[in-house]
Amino acid sequence: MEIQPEKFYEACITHHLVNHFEINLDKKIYPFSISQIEEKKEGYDFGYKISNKSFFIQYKRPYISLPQCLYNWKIELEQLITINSKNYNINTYYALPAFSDSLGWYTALNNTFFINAINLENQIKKINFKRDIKSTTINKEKIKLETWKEIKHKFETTLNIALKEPLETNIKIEDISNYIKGLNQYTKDTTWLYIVEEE
Amino acid sequence: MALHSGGRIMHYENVNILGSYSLRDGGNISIFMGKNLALGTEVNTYIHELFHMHLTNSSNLGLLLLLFEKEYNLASNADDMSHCEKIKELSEIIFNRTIYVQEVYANSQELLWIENNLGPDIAEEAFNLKNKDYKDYCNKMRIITSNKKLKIERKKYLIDRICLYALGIPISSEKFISALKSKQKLHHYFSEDLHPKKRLDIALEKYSRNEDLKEENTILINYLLSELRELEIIKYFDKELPELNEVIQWSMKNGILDESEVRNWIELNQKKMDEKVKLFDFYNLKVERVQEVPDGFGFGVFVIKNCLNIHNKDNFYFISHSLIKSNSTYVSNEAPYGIIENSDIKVIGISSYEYDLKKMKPSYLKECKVPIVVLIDNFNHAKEIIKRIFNKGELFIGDLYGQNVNNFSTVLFFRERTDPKTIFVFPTLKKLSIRIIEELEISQELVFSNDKYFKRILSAFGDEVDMLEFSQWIFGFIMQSSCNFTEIDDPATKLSFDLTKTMINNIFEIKEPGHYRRWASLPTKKTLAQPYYSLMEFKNGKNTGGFYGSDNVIIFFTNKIDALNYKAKVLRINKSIQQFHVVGIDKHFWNTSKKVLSKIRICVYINNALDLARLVTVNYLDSKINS
Repeated sequence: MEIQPEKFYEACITHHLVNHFEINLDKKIYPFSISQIEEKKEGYDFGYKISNKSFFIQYKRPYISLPQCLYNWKIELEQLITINSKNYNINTYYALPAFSDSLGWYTALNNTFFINAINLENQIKKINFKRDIKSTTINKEKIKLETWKEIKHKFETTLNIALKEPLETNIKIEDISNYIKGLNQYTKDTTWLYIVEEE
Repeated sequence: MALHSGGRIMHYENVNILGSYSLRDGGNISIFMGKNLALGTEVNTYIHELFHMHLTNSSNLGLLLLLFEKEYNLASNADDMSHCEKIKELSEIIFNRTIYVQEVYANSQELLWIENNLGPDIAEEAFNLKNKDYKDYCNKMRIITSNKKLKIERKKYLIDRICLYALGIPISSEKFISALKSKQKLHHYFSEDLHPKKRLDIALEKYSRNEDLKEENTILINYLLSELRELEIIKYFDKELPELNEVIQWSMKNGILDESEVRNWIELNQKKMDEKVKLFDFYNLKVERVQEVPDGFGFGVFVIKNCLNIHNKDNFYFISHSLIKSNSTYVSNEAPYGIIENSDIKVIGISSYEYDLKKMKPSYLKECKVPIVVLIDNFNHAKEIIKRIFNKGELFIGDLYGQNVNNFSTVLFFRERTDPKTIFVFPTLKKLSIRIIEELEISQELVFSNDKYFKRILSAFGDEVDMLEFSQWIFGFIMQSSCNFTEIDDPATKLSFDLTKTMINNIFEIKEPGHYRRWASLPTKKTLAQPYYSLMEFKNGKNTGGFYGSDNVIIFFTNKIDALNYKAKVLRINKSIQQFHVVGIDKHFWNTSKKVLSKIRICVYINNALDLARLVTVNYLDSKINS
């Protein structure tokens, strides 16, 4: 079975996310590839304020293990730890597609697992009993993964009454540069920032 | 209930959320008790959320959302999950387009209400407390709210009209119904002048030009329902629903309501809306899922069975409350039930939705050695349980403070006399606790937390030390606070002040082991004889525990008439028997107190005419009572 390249998953899931935000949530999101930001960081301006609902997604193309046809994803621990050490109160999710056929484009969100990077780090540490490893292969039997249906509520707006937020979460281009520091080119190439429009 | 119908315990970002309104179960309001009490914003939050509910109930789009919510619940009960998804998606698309108008409305109305009732300075304080987005929502209506020529009532009325106009989409028009066929079509429908946010701007422009906001916009409700059925958007909703009909009637008048009608509507619906206010809501708990369940849970833990957060359906969801980096946090994880069976916890908490009211026992928990706290978050549920206990048994009920203390929120504690190990706890609005007591006519049963009789409700904990620990645990949990008694500003400490004082007042008194359990088991005037009666002393309507007897012998009667005749006969020569009442001796009292009673001589009255009684042994009585 031929697995699609990472670019396919990035394009496909980004397309569905933009649509979901626009149609269902009545909000615009603006996707930026991290590499694209890095290349232009001198004088770069998003033109948007990065609200605390903005998020990063790192894409991982799957591997299929036979004979049980189980989808696996390779996670680099060093990168994961680097990502989690930057605390801007912006969530990073790993998108783990569990489909390989290009026909899966239309049902991509329902066939992709998501997991918050901090949660992933904790779970990996737990299953590896603190052994010093560089990378690990995960699948849905090893790690508790969430489906799109389970995480999409995190982006919903509800009728809440809130006070002044205790944390200022509007991040700047310098923060993104800082976030990128220490990430290898592969991670940069597969990570996207989604800026959620503010009112 | 959310947890049953597929609800999820929420994970939030780091924002101070004080309250929320959601369409669940026909609309309900959550107010986070601890934070609001700490910040003194309870009233603001309550008013704010009430206005969200009001706008939902009286606007066209709100009506449609309530209809979809009902359909969703019916489909969910029928396990038609694909239909649920379809309805949820349509609702989501519509709801998200109402948010802006909803927030402009609730924020503006909230501030006007505060200005009118508490004064302009407090309104300004409330405005300054809001975050930037919420200030922007308030500012949207500045053209009206800052107009010094307008009276507050007029301002409120105008905002009502403008926001109703904004959400006054012609939902029974062919164009709108056709748009419901797909999410893309619906998105397209709202994309220009028909977006509520745009309609709000149009209404404000009309207002500034002094133009009328009236629209020919009658909802043809039967036509709408038949078209929605045709499109299979509605498959289950087919019966008359009085509350929805009422909303429909009002909504049909949308656009022609005058000021007095709006006022009447608010008053009429105030009671109903109050019932939807939740001061504790499992659905809205901000939980941190921990990787490993801690070895010990501390004093107690909440155990939930029906919760979407659970990955393995055989597991239970455990929620406890602790301080993480000095932040009060709910921590949770799923695990098999067995992990608490051998733990040292002293109480297990459950949601009232997992309590079988017919059988009066938890729906999912096995036999428990420790007391169970049933936490109730729903007014009608609380009222029904209290009513059932009162009608079928003997109710012990306590409120934290009397009506002379003007607090906004409170917690009701209650239980049935013969079941000390099941304690019900209902955090609610003070006005709702008063309503329950009045409507069920149970003021005779009610005690306040400064009264020692409040401790009867908590007798299962044995002594004041454990009662205090329980109180700290439950208040800390409900209010997401440390409930550290030394911090006077801590909201839970504030609310439990009288209760804590009552416990501490006699914490050092020496009592025999089991004192409170026996004391709380004393028969009341309602206790049924199983099968004996006796004469016991009452002061201020409460049993003091003293038996009437002579020559150090107490008398049990086999029927009530004998007991009453005996009392009448003695009364002629000894007036002190007046304060003794005939009570039933039941299994609960007997089994709790028989060790103590075994030290006293007891006789059973056998002949009224001859005044004959026979000394009996405790074993004899035990075999009769427990037969």
